[in-house]
Amino acid sequence: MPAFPDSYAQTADGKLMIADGMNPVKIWDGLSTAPIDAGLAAPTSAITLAAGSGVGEILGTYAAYLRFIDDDGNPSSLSPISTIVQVEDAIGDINDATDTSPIEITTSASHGLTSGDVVRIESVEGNTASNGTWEVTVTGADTFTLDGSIGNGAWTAGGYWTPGSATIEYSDVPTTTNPKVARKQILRNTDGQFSVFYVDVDTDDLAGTDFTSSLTDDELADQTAVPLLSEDGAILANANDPPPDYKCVLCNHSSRMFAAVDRIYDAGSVAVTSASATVSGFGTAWTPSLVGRYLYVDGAVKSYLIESVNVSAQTLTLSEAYASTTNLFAIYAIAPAPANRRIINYTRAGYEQSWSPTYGIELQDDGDDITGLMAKGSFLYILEYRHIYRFTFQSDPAVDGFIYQSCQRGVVNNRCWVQVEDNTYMLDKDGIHAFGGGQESEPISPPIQKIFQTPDDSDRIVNWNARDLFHAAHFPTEEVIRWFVSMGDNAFPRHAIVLHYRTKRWWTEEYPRAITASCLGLIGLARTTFLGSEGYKVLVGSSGFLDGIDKNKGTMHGNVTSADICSVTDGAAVFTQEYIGLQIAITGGKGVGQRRTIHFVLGTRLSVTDPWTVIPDSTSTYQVAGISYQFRGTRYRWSDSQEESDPSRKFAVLYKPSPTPSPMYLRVYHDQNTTPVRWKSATNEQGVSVKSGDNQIRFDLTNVRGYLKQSLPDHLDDDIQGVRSVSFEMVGVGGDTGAKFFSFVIDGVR
Amino acid sequence: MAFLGRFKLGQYVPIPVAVMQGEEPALPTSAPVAAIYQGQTKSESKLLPIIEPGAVEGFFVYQLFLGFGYSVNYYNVAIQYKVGSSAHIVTHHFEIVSGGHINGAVVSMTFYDRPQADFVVEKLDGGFRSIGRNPRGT
Repeated sequence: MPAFPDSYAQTADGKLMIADGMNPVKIWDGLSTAPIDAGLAAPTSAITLAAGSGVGEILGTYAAYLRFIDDDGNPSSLSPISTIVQVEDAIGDINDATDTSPIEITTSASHGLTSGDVVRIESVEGNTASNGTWEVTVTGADTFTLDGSIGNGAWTAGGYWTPGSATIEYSDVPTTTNPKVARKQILRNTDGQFSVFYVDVDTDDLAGTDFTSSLTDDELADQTAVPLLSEDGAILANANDPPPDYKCVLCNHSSRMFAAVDRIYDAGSVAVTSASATVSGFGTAWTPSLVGRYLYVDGAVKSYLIESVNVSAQTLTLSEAYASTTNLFAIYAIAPAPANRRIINYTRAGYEQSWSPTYGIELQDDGDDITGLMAKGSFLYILEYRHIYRFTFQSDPAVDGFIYQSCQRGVVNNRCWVQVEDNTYMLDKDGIHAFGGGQESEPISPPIQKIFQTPDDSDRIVNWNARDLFHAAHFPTEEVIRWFVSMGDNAFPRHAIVLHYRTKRWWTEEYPRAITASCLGLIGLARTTFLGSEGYKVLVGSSGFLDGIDKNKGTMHGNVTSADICSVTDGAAVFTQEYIGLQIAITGGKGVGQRRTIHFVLGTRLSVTDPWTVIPDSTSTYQVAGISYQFRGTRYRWSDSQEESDPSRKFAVLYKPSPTPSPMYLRVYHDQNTTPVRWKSATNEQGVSVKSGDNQIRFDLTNVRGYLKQSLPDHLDDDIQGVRSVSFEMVGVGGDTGAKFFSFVIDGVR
Repeated sequence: MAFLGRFKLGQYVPIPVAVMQGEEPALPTSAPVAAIYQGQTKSESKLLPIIEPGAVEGFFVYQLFLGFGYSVNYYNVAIQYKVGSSAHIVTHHFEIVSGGHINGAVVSMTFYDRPQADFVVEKLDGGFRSIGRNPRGT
């Protein structure tokens, strides 16, 4: 099973985020040597909090969190909360509380306070205005006044006082070796509330476990505030998780990152044993990211949560024992929690690395599956196989977001849509359609519809089983879009469905190598399409006339000196190791029309991977890395019978003369015949030649006139007795400078 | 011994075995094991997954990725399995020809334009990501 393709999206500050649904989401800034994990994992253990030594102003009920901060200031979510602690020193009894302003407290014993300390007064009867938390001014060894207090009656009985602590001590503070973490922040609340925490300690001591703070509540409240919830009640401080690793499509829209499309993994098979929580995989490539997802086994009555993954042994541990019957050879799938399937997760605005499971919009189930996301204008489009939805929001997706169905067409995967000008061109299982963003999408592929649906020509219809590997690219200089698809049994795309969007013309292309990826980029200021291929190759689309090599790298065409079943030799040639993997075509003489892949170069000899069907000889010519073409026109009807004596039946072609050998071969098909006409008589004049018995006419495109013609047999030729219609096919291999045709003319048809 | 074909580095070799008991398809006692040899040296062993057990009984195929550890050469494959108490062995061979790369195909790519350089970021079939800088020396 090929590796899962990545999805890419850029953050507002230009970083590249990368997701494949099987591994942690990565992020890269173009400066570091390689992408790193996006987001920060929260600390997993809680801090221990306690009052420090000495009497001071810190007095109250406190708790603390820890969070990590990266180089860019992005925070993680919070650690588990510490235990809630009453920060207080020894408790002393009260003997009096004067009904004065300020109130003077008399303690039962020497209090040991100094002016400015903070105490809490509780349970005073009579002068109940004493009760509360106060800063004190010491008036004697066992008396102090409560700053700013006003008595409200005579003390009658009771009361005790609690002095504050000078410091707060934090211990068991989690450490980290995560290279992304730049700082740790300990957050503490102020007395009396637990909705907003403040940064009490901000340190780059990542290995330290013990910290002390002397900030009073007033001082703490001047530090950075970290509210746990937003004004709307949404989770805030804990909405900084790493991106979900089970979503395989990312899309940036309105300063938020969105993620959709659950990754399903089903490579290989599994062995499950009744009453055992261990599952073995065969032909699998399970990763740790599968923890938390669910195992679905064919024939089992329920799914199972995956608790751990042993990557080297390729075993899973389930959260409970497998309850169905033992099956050593079961097919299976691993999928995220079912509740996630219709969820599109998103981040807070401006925090594309900060995610929360609670930030998500749910698309109502319509029996379809989400395949992609597309930002266009002010809308985010949610793409499915057979539906497109439009999502819009003003400030917060959860508060003012709305989803509308746009149309009942879709896209097979997130790499099969291309935006060009006002339209988005998409491939779905019904063909290709042009989506303008409204309620309808225009079907535009009827001229080639049979390649999507016709079941009787398996080599020339789309292999939908390989749809996850399809992709599309815009080629601006050609004004075409290519959908690279698999046809026949191929997994990787070796064909392209091509649309010239100006003229609405279609054709298909077949490549000698798989085109496995594509993207639009720049070379200098020129928009250029890059193509990925087998063998770790990146190619430049629509550049040059040869396929995969520069024409100055060696001999690209010539005459065969000798050949055997798996090689050709040109004694005058200069070949290099760069020829390995390129195609060689026999362009003339014996064996013409054959193409093979070069897999070995030895001096002037090229070895090919597959034996020649017809071994070339010294009459043969060859072209390396030439681009093959094949054009089959429509069927024409010969002129009526009364005109059949007209001898002007002919085929003519206008072309750009080629400086290097570049023959074009014309094949003529009569009526419904699938094999071309064989010519009885030989001709060879003015660049056009055919041998008796050949089924194709050779046009020498080096002829400088740029115009060649060939008379076609009239009704007197026995071979066309009764023939009513004719079609033409032009095939050839472009030379070092390609092949360019301006038009062809057929006389004698109507 | 069946010839599985010629492959390039970075491609997948389908290694099949149809488990038989006598003339009839059967399920083995455990997953068949394929050992891949270059000459006398064992490259690695793989457990074969079953294919479509609902449609075909006892047909196993492993998709061997020709990545790290493989080179242009001839390889033999010995597949062992047991049905009941009887052990069986099936052998195949294949050839790796030049023209490939152990990292395999580029399965996805994007153009990443930064102030200091242009990049093409690629995901490769072998699993890792590659970064090409300043395409064609611009």
